[in-house]
Amino acid sequence: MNCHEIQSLAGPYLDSELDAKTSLAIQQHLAACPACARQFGAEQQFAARLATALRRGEASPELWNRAEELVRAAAARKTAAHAGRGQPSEPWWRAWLWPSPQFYAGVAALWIVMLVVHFSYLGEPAQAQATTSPPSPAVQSALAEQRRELAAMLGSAGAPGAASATRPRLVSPRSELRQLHDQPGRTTWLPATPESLQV
Amino acid sequence: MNAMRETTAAEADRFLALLEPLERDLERYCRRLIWEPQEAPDALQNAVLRAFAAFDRYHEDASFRAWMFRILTNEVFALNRKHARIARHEFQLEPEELEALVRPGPASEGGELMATPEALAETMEPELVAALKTLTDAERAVLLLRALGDLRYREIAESLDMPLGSVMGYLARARQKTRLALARRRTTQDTPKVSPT
Repeated sequence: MNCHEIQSLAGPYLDSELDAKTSLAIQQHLAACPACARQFGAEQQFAARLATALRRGEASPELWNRAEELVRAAAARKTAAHAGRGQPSEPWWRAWLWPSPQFYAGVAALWIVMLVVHFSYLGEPAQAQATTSPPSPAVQSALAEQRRELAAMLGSAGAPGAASATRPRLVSPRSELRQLHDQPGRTTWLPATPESLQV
Repeated sequence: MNAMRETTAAEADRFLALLEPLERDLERYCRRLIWEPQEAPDALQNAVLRAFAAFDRYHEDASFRAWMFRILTNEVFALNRKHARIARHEFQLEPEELEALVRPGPASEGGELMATPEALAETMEPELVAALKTLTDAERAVLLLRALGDLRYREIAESLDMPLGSVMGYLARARQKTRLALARRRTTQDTPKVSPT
């Protein structure tokens, strides 16, 4: 290795980061080269002084006391979280009973009260309806008139002979054609059937 | 129930016991990495709470130190994103300075600091803060994880989700840029002001 290569390895060499073989080669070179030895000495001193200058300043005890408090508080929270997970969980069906079973018990009780009140008042109008007076003569005459009209209508429509005389007979076009075809001496065109096509 | 309380309390005790030796380094790292210093306490407390919440997923065989730095880095990066735009405009390097970064060794502008590293010990806090602000988030995180977190390259790569080669590249560049920025500010301060008259 030449001087340039040796000097480029000054940092790793002084930081003891090189393998034994390279370190030995550098040691041998430094023993024989005063310029490189001087350079390495200065580098080493600079690194040491820089580290000393960087290390100036004291730690702040209050900062680290506060950090310790925070760690202890975090540990307590962690314990509380674990304890919460360790408790038996509620059954799944309780989640459906929102907001609470007591709420639904109250609603049911209210319904029962309302039903009782409702049925206790329901009997009175029924009795009142049963004891009502008969309709007035005007209403009775109107009802009788309506009944008569209805009977007249039913009487005209209900006579079987008259109805059959006036009502047209319903026949399908196909059956009518069949009747015409069946009459002797009549030639009527009919749709071809497989049987009619056979020779 | 009692067993659960004891388990969680014991978990908190175990977490706090692992956290205690890291408190000072975590706080320094956070204050150096974050853009807005007043946001550092919130970032730290959030990171601690996040770490405790995920503590049941932490494996004993992994490095708690690297795991904690990783969570804090993510928290700070999320806050820094809000200020990233301002940062780009305030602390942009000149093109010729970026050219110099490519050239390693004492020939660069930061050679004076290399020759007399004692000067760095006298570096004032504002100078150091300003020098760190010339770095990108990734460069600053790699530099600080190495200098303050004492993490190995492999652990840094895991913490920042980047390849090992990138860690080496970022670290070399971060050191160069810091050196350059400090030297530049020192030169500016040492230059006597000439009166216009």
